[in-house]
Amino acid sequence: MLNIVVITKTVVPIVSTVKVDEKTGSLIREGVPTTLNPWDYAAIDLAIKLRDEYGGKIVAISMAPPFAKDVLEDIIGMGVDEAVLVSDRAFAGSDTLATSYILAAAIRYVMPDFDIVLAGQEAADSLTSHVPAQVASFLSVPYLYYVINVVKIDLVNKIVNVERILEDEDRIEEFKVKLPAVFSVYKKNIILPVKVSRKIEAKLNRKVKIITNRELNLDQSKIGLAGSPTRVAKVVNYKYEPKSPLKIEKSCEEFARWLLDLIQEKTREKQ
Amino acid sequence: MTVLVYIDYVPATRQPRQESLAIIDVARDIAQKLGVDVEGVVVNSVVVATKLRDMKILPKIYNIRLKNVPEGTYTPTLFGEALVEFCKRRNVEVFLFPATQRCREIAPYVAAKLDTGLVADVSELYVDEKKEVIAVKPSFGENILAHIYIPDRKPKMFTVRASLRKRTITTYDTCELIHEEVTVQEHYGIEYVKSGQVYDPDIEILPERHDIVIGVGAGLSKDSIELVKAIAKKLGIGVGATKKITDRGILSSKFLIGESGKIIRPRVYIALGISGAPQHMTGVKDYELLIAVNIDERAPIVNYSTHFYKSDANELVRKIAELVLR
Repeated sequence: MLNIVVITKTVVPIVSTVKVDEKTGSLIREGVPTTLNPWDYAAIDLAIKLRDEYGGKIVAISMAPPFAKDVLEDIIGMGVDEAVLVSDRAFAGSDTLATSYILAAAIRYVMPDFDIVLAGQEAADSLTSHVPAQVASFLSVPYLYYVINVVKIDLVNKIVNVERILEDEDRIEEFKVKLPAVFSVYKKNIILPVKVSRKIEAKLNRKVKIITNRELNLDQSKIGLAGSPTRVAKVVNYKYEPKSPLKIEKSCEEFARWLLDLIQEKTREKQ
Repeated sequence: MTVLVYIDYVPATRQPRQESLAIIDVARDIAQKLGVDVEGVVVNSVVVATKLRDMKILPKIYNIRLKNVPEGTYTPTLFGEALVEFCKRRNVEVFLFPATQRCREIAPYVAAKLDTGLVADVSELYVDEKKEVIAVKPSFGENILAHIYIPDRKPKMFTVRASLRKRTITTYDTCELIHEEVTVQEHYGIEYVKSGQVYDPDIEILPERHDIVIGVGAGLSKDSIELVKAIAKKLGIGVGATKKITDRGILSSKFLIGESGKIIRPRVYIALGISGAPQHMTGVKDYELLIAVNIDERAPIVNYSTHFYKSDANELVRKIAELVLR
């Protein structure tokens, strides 16, 4: 039996279209719906595989405003057992440190006897990948990033062997980890289908639990803006000037030769 | 007070990562503006620390020796705890890590333990008129640049994206190597077992490793894309792809450029049969030349291009293959 927590995040679907109001510094969302962070699917997928093989239960936890409830119902529709939305005005403005502090407290509250916490490699909007390590730090448990494979689990002694990949080193490493532990799961382009009947059932039976700071009772100085060491000085949109390209009039063969010459020239410049 | 640079290395080979060396310039610049010293720190490797000393690219290098832990044994908690203890002993004002995958794993743990702030994957650092260190952090597919600072806490931590292209190397007359012992637990519930090199025939043409990249889009057939891979291997350049291509399974997601893939900074991007949707173009930054080949002159890619050639990109690929692969 494994008690599994999956940390998920909701993000706007096409992040590259988001702009910021440079005067107020806030994002112009224009009622853009939110969706599950694409890298979280791999974590949910691994959680389901582990539960189906070893038995146990999966709880998905997400810290977000109330509208994220719908995404958590989707996650139940994907096959997760329970979902918890951690939501309170007091949590607004939290950076990754304060968020991790809140999530760690929520995990302890919801599933104090957790074995494994899984998370996606990073969030498609902010791309920090801070939360898994910081949650592990607050929970005082070991952690590892970029996990691609669970080699074996010794359920009696609660020891798991995992493989992880470091793409920028072309290296796979294996570690032996004592549970409970936190893992971030390597990026994978997958989408899990939502079983509509499960989602509707979750909606009707209000299966997404909402937890506020009334339950967690966290010190105000550790959460929200007060608990966040980082401050945003300003936000600006990436400046991009539309270009007017030089139109090349050549035969296909001439152009091919021109392009190859250019590649050779630029390759030589580098050396 | 110091600006400290973390020297990342591959534990199995004890090779310092170029990304670490590349951010020393950034660290030196910040240190000068703050009027403090710059130092480097290596965790548990005499070999790496000695290599750094011999390069003389820092005036001072610390090697944190871990009691009872063999040289080069890596786990995130072990390295994290070593750095936490080291920072507690000194007055570190700013702590920079290269934004390698290993450092992205260690740094947040250290920041949480020291109850300080960390900004991830910073593209630029500067010091403002109030002597505050400010990080420029691209967000939302790099369409938004957030300027972030860390008031009233120490150390101010950043993982910094290295520019391997624009490196200058400053050397010192001498470099002092100091070994400092730190007592840690033998493991913290996590132990290294083994590691191995990944053998992937596509590694040599991955887009982030090259200054010249051919991007392939839906205007190219599967056969043409196979030819592009062969051409890239022959010429020693990279290949990137749009989401349509990776979604169809023609290329794996390792080649995906843009929103849910990689962000690359090639000098030359050759866009073949790519329409130029923002989700893709957000992943191609800071290029000198963008040469687009497309049958449609009104495709959005035109607005991103320095050069445009109107043609069926498949025809061009066949022509290049004839010239290159004969």
